[in-house]
Amino acid sequence: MLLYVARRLVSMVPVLLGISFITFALVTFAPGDAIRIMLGSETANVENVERMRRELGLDLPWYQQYVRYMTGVVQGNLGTSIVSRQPVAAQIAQRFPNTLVLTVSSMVVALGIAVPLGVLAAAKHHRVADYGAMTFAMIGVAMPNFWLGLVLLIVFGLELRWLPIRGIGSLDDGLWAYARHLILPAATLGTSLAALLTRLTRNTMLDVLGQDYVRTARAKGLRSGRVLYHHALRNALLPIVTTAGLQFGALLGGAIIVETIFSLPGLGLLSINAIRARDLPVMQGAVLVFAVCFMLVTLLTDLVYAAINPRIRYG
Amino acid sequence: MKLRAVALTLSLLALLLSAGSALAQQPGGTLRIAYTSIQQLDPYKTAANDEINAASLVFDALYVIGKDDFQPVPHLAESWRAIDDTTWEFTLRQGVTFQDDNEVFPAGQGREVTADDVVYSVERFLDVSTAFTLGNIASVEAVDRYTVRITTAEPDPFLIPDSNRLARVYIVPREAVEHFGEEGFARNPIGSGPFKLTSFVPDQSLRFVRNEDYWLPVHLDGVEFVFIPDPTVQLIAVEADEVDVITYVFNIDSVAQVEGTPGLSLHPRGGSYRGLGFNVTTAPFDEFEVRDAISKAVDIDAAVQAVVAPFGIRAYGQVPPWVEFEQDPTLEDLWSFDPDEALAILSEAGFEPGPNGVLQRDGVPLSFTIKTIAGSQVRVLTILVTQLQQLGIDARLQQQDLAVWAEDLQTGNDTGVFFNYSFAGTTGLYALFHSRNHGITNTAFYSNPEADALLDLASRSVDYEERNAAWLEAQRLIMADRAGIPLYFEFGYSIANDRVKDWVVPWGGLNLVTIENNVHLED
Repeated sequence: MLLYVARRLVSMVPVLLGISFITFALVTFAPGDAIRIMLGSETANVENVERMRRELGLDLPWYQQYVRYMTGVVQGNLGTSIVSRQPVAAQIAQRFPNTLVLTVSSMVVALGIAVPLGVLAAAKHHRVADYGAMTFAMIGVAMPNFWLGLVLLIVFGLELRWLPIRGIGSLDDGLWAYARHLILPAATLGTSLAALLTRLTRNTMLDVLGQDYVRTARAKGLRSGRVLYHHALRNALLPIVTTAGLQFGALLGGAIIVETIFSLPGLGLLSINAIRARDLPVMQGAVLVFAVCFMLVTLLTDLVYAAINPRIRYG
Repeated sequence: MKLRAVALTLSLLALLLSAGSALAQQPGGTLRIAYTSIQQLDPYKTAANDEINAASLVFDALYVIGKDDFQPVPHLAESWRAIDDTTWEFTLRQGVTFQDDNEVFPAGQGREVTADDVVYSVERFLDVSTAFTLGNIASVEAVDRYTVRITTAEPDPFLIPDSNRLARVYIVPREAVEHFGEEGFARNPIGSGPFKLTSFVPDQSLRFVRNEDYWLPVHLDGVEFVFIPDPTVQLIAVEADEVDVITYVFNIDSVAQVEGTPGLSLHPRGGSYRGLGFNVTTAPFDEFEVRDAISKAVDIDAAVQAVVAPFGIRAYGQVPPWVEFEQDPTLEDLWSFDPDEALAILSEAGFEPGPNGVLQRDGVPLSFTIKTIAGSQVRVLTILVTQLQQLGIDARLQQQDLAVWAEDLQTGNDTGVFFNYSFAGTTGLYALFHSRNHGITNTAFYSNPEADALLDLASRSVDYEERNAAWLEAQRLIMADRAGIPLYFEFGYSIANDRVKDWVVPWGGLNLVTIENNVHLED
């Protein structure tokens, strides 16, 4: 098992190299660069900007820039932001926890809604609860994040004044003060995933409930709740876990929008601002962290398999 | 006896209460300002309004751009005078100290700001500022403890009135920059300003507290910058009383949205020039006739009226009403809306309708894409493009990301016609049309030796009349040459709730505590 994990971790290295190269190439060859944006301002000090371009090595051919950058990364140096001239690693370290908390709580929201609702829908197949759950699933998938976010913000933040409209709370003020800042963003980000997973849970549950061993369990006289959760759900979980793991990437992407609307200083916001300003070192750093997260979550998903289904073994 | 004791207690109580309410009536409060992004607080290293606003609380400049008429108002410098055409002498206010109780200056040991600090700051600004240009400074020297002389290589009348030059040089203490290093100073700013930084986590928390030792009484207890990256949410936040002020709004849709909201006020000031630019080196826009015809083919008045009014006005030239130059009333006669004449000019130039109705010459259709960035101009240009199409000109509009648009313009690429704007007040005309700025801000690649000479002359004239005359003459030449088509001036606004008193719309740094105004909150 440990050996397996180690092997998986080592195999991430070439993937990360590839990702860093692709990001670098995309930005380098895409139109627009940070220096030009600075020069475009009528007040810019052209001489100093040109000197900065040289100091940052932005006048070098792209392959030299890439080698320079990667040499830094290997030494644990993610470089300096072109725009703010502050170290990239510090900027990421400060924001990453916020994005992590946001995505994890959105995942909790999604699973917390999807699994019970999906099971209910399957158990009450073709009844009101089923149709209700499927309507939610349809609306949830169709509703764009930015719209849902603004609606929640206006209803619960501006009109009802139940929840804060922006920022993050401090744990020093207690768990509730911290958590209430997260409710709206997590609900916004978690809804579409919840919708997707509800549908999936229902369908897999329906499949499993049609299996012979479920009928056997029922014939033995087990209570329907025990059959549903112990026999059926456990077997239906594998595809749900797979999808949830893969969708984690989508959550990271959605974080960009949700962080903007709810003024959450996270990695998503950092990267979108960096993209707008063509701040290459910050973009690179953010993409690398996103990529590592995604790969770690995939690994974690595989490990969860083994926990759910004892027949799966890694060695 | 007992009664007397009660009476005494009561009167004492009343006295205490009245003292208490007198205290409560004293202006103060914590001003909450919405911002989009603040990564660092070194005012020399940013062009971002948010960062400059925040930094301007910690630092003092020699003077501020005042609330009326954009005139310089004494601040750290008590007065200044021109010794000759190239030398300015500033006399500093005495007894002003840098903020204490920090790593550099222990409590009670804030050092006095002297002429040496001004010399150091100007030199550092020349060295590290990327966002702003001071100009050709020959020397800066301390004459005595409170007197500084700045000598320019050539007469330079804009050095002081232009809000983007000497006004941007906040005075910084050498010890602090050397102690923290360039990178660290941007996170630990220490200056002589009215507020001290108390906490700064980029894009998370940013708080300032009143500097009790400031050379003016500071009314506000403190200032909190509130991170709200989304402009729509900023509006919701000011309506929901989560923030007191949005310092400067460029988007007139937002302005229209909050206009008339009870409890909120719009404070107008300055704005931007928006127009069409031609790359005058690409065919067919290298021909005056084509540019002239396009200017006559579009009904700018109607478009501006429909989209921008009342938050902007039609522009007939590039010089905005809020700079030191006069408005030239004769410019209006240069422009007319006359589609028939436009067609006649094009026909004379050899353009005839082709098989698909598009005007063409030698088989080449008159076809172009106007590149623009987001803003009110998108709707104005949409109207203009429709009018051009009706005349048989194959005009299109393409909205681009700022970075792509900037590169496209600067490299001249395939851009024949583009959206052109200017936020720089005083010297916008120079930036957009002087041949020295080809490919940087003069993306029209326009060259007119006569206009260049006039702009250069104005830039060296210390006599206002001469300067004004030369500048307006240059403007007239450039406009008559159709180097661009001015469309409109869009106004900028602060949005503040009505409790905020004495607010001055920032014009390069916030004016919270000056000899003219002192911002505070009132219930």
